[in-house]
Amino acid sequence: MTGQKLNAASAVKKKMSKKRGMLFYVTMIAFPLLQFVLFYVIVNFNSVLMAFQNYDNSTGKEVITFSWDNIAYFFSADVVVDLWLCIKNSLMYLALNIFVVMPISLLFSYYVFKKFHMAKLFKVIMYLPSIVCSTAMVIFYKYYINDALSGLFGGSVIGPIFNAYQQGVIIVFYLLMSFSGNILLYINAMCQTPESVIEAANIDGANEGRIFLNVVVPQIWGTIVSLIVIFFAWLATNQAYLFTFYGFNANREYQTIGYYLFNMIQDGRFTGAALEQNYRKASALGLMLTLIVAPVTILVRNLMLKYGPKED
Amino acid sequence: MKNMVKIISLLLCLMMAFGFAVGCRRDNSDDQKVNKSKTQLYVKYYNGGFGDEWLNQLCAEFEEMYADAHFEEGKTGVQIMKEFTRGQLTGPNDMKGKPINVYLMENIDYYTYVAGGTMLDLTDVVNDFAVTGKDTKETDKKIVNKIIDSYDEFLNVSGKYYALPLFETSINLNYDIDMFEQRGLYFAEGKTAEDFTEADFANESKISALFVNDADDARANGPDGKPTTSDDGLPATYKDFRALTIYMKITGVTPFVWNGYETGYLTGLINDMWANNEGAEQMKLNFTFDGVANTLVELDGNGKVVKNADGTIKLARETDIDESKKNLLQLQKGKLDALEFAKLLLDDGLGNKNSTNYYSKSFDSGFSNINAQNYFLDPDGNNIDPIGFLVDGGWWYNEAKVSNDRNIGILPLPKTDANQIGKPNTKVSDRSSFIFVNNETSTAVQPVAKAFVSFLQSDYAMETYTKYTNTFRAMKYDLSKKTLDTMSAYGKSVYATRNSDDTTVLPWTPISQVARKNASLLSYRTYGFSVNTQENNPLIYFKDHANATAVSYFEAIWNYRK
Repeated sequence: MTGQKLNAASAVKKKMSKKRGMLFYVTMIAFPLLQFVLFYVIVNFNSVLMAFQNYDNSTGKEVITFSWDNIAYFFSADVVVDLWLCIKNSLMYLALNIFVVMPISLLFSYYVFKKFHMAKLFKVIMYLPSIVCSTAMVIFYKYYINDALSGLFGGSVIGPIFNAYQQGVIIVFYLLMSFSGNILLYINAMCQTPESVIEAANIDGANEGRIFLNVVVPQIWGTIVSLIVIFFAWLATNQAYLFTFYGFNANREYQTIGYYLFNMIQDGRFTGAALEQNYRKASALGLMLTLIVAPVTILVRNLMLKYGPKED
Repeated sequence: MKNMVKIISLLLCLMMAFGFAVGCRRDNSDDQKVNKSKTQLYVKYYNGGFGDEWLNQLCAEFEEMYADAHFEEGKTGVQIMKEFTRGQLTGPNDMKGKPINVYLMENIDYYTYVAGGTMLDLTDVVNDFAVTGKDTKETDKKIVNKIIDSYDEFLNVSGKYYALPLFETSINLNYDIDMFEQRGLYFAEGKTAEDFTEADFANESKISALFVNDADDARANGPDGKPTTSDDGLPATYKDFRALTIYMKITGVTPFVWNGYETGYLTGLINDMWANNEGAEQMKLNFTFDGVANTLVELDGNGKVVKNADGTIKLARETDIDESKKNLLQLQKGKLDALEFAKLLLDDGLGNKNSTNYYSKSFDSGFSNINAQNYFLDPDGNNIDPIGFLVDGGWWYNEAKVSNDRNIGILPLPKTDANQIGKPNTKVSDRSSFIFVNNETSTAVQPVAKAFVSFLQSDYAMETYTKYTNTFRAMKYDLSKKTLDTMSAYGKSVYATRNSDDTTVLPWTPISQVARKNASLLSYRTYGFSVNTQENNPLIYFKDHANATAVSYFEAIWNYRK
């Protein structure tokens, strides 16, 4: 009898504990789920709908109809030519992120991680651009290039007209700004590497290059994959500071997809009905880009996780 | 070493903090406290270049006028709560759920707001006389009769009015009258470059002989072709204009300056020249897509411009324009001529090392409108040569806080050739600024909001606007002699342009239903000069395509738009 009572009490306790666990789980998951529903499902649901809408207020009343016109617009020859220019520039910034920003950031992070000469000072200096808002940095940079270095370039470089040096100076700015954010992430990830592993590698006679490649990189591979996934996902939204530099007026030759999309829906550049129509075109372009970028991003992530270096 | 790092880090942080402190501007707007014994009227005004002095005065006067009025139970008088900032409305939905009652904004697409149902019907206000006091109104003209005809055409939606025009403004070529006098930059009586050959333009003495030797010398008739008018001595034709830019450089003056960040100013100026070349009737076709076009350029089968035997551009036969043929308007001859003018702004065409016509920083993204104004007004202080013309909108004079002793004028745009001298002027106002009331305004506050809007349409209120801003409301009204006497030279120049019998100001806005259906096509920044889906500005196009001529650019536009 007593045994039965104990069993019953234990079952109740277990049930209570299960309930509490469920309550904790629901509480913890509710907020992110709510955020996902609000800021992804609802927002994007409207965006997807807008991609197929035509807006007309010419009669004095808003009339919304559904068609494929917005999608078809981006397949017309004139638009394809402009989009291709933007895509090329966006791909260039993606390549820069992967093949320039990432390797240099990794190497520099390793330098700081290993506490080499004046590492802390460099860490502060490299991180400074991330603290100052990018608008202020752009203003400094514009004056620096167009005034201080005007003798070197034979006049103003950063402006609405085409200039042979312009793409270069914008890329330099982009790289400078990109290093700082990345370095902090890599240093944090590297700090998770157990010192004993590094020491073991040292005892085994590994040089710095081997330690970096065979010990540290595998340890932080997850971070590297995450950042590459972000770079790919960023492909269609990265405007490479062009709006901060030029407002509406970046030269066509330097525009990225992100800037193109952003500029399409700039209030002031277009107003009212034109803006309403452009919102819908931008939604259509966004939808098409998602259909391209999302699978590519997932594929890259899976390939990197499958074939990348392993800690063991 | 550790201390060294800390000191350097601290220094860098201090430098940054200093930068922020210097860069920040204190907002001096007064914090208003709600006076519960009064009815509150919330007014939002786009406080751009025109400033808010005029509106502050009128608000204070309105509050005084209605000091003993009762609109809500237990409340006496009106308190205007001001939101005078640079904040814009992003669309009709932006008005929903906001406490604002009256809006005075720019970049408003009227029909989108009407369709959005967020504007209060103001028909009763428009069909009444303007309020001048709590119990008094004007007796001369109803507000509806003060609306400029071209505005009335599109404000009137099936007999209902939902907004009233705020200001009218165009992008202008502004010049320093005193500098023109000192340097003798006026054409002497009877002189013109109309018969000049290329060799003549390159001949300094021939160019110099066109201009007055002394400020008091008799001057040639300007573009209006009439003697003793305010445009005397100013270039009457494109060729005169070209000669003036060459002569300016002979006398050490840089012909033009504009800002390099907002190139829409340049598009606005060339749009204005296009309208001036076309005339009001033909230009209006672009906002209706309905009528007969008689200035279209003829193209051959390859899309090339056809010329007459004498080298002039051949015009096509009269063409009926409707929605299906709207793109033909891209072939208006006035636009082709405006492109020639755009080239003149860049270069005098002599091909020598001094042929550039603009200040070197004008295509520098860091060279703002404020910089351009400052360089134009104070060349000595900026250690540069004097500048002939500033390209800027009508708001710049107030924005730059120009002192009243400066004599600044607006250049009447030159005509394409001598045959066009004396023909009427047409300007376009492209900022779409309106006064309107939020549809969500409570029933108790609606009478105050309507009274305030009505008061702003009184002659007195509109004259106050002009007195402070040196520009005009987009309404029909005149100025008293007293006001005119106290106005700056710039204000008088605006007045002369505006009150000239032969000047029509067209709002750059779709008027007909067909045009409204094509609103995205009609953006003033992209409509006339795009050769691809990106924005194109004529001056930037010419800079980016060194070998382009006005004709080749015109053909490229057609190739894209056809």
